[in-house]
Amino acid sequence: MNSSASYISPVSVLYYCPCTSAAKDHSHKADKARKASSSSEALEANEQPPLQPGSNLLALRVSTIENLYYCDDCSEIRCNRCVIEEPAGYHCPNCLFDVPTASVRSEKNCCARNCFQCPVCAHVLSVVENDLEKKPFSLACSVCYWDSREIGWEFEKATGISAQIERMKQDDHQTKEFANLLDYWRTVHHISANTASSMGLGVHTIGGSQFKHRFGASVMPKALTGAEIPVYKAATYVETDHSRVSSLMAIDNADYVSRLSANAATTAASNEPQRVRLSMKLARRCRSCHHILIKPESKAQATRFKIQLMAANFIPKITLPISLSPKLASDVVLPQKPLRAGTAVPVILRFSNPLYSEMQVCVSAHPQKDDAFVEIHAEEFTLPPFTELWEYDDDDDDNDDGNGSSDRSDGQALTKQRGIVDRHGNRVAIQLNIMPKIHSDNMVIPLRVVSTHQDDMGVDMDTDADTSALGSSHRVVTNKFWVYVSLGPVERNI
Amino acid sequence: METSYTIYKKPEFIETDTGNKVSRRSLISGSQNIVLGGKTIVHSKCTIRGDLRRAGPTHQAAVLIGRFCSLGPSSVLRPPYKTYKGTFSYYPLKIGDHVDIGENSIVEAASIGSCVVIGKNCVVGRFAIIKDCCLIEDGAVIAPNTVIPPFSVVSGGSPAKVVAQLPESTQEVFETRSKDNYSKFISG
Repeated sequence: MNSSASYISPVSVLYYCPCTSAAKDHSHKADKARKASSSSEALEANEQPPLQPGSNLLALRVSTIENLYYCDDCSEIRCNRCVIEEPAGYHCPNCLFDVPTASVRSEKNCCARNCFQCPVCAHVLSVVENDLEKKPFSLACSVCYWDSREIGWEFEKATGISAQIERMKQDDHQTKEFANLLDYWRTVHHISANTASSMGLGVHTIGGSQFKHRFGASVMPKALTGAEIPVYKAATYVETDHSRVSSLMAIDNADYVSRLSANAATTAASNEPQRVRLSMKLARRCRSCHHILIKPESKAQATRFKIQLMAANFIPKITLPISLSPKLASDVVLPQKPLRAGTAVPVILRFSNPLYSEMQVCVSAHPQKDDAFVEIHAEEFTLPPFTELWEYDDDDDDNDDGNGSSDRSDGQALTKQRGIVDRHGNRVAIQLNIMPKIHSDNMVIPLRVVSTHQDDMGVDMDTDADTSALGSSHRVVTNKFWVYVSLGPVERNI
Repeated sequence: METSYTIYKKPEFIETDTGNKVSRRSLISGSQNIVLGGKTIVHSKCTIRGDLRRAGPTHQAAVLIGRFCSLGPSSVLRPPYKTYKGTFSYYPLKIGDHVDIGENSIVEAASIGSCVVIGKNCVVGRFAIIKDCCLIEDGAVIAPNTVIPPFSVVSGGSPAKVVAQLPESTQEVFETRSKDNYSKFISG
């Protein structure tokens, strides 16, 4: 799922998930500090980024906003690592048939219809009609032209191929032996479960301990010895069994033993098409509070979600625009030329508000940074709410000194004017001045972002002290997170 | 990183009432059998074979394309064909909304869902079915009759295979991207 985890792509904005324990402690401290002092922003400006930009761990800990979830109970970003996954429905990835959970096990986690994989190229086989009279159908691969007639698989009907194969193979000694083994272990499991529960051992059973390993090493009681458990008797006997065993026993040099993969390739079974394995849809929960974050529709074809709490719907989305308006298409906002150490360049970051309520955003850079000097003119600004109507709006509100800032106090408005280069709809673009100090392959700048908005949740939500003073059902939600802006390589000074 | 503005010369593209932008340098055969949903961009040297329609008298369109699609330069859209019960026939090619087909890709699918991104130099084989919210990476060759389930990432090689799953936000991400691409494709 998280394809961005392997490396940091140049020119991207990546969000840090606070799920690692070190970062958690850190943010708790920050919380205390914030509560202790009212002028919280000054304190937060001095915070250390959870990971230094040069850290090798960075690529593993950050991801794009699209891959992140948001727990609205914890008010915290959640990533793939800090969610619990649960199955929410099974289906065949080929025929998209929804398999009821009850029959998944009996169908051995595989599609019980016509879906088979080619034994040569693993592509899905299709049922083809041949000009034969008795059994006209066979399975054929459209990639490598393998045909199931090669191994003598021909079918009377084009439907229910799995069942036809099962009927064909029911006299096969391997199938018999497997069924026998299954029966045997079921009996063993049953006996041991009964004995164990009577001895007050609960779920720790012999069968369970051998197959599940769920609770670590299980205690095998003295009473449960061979006396109660029947000895396994093979269902079938094949002439070559003894000779094969004795030849294996006679091996005294491991070099002569073929590897598992090679061994499997030489057995007859691997020449047979295998049934396509089922896929499942996943529901996701927050690891710390078990609040459900993702609940998909159980149907295989549906792409809707009953519950979908993605980070992109709660925290401002930060992007790097290439150009701010079509008129200025030639005026490139993003430094196209490689960055150069010692030369200050402007970098534009565009923030967009996904919420229907106004959002206050505070951006701060880490002051004692050693590989680049970052200057932010607009440290605090307001993101207008998201409205569908903005989409039809013209460039009227593009102008900085328009009506947008008239309702604010003058001193504040002036500072805001300095760094904001573009306003449009629910988006605000701010300018940073960045001066790289040293050469690097990919300059990454950590930024601390604090976004605050009023959430019109029901009164049952736990409210902060300052909001209860307002006497409304609104609660103030503050999201604090680190983003890492990756800007590409920095060249050496010539 | 946001997409940049693309400025084209006004005479190069024909804009229809529903906002489709079709390059004059594209090759469109059998245009009466092609349905464009609106706000779809057909880039230069793109070939759409609307003339390959079902055998016999039929009113069915040969190529159906939804809204906010982008058919890349030099891409080929061709309805799939097969011989069924002794008669050779073409079958319709259906493409949903917000589908982006990359440069030089050849599509002979039976259906492509909504919010699908197909990279450059891909081949989508005959009667392949790509469900909603999928990403086909550059150079992937999807074998004929393949079914790609929703939220799949299909990676290169022949035959291409499902290698990963896309996040749950994919639908919104691809929709926003295709709308953004359309709004930034303007005449200069």
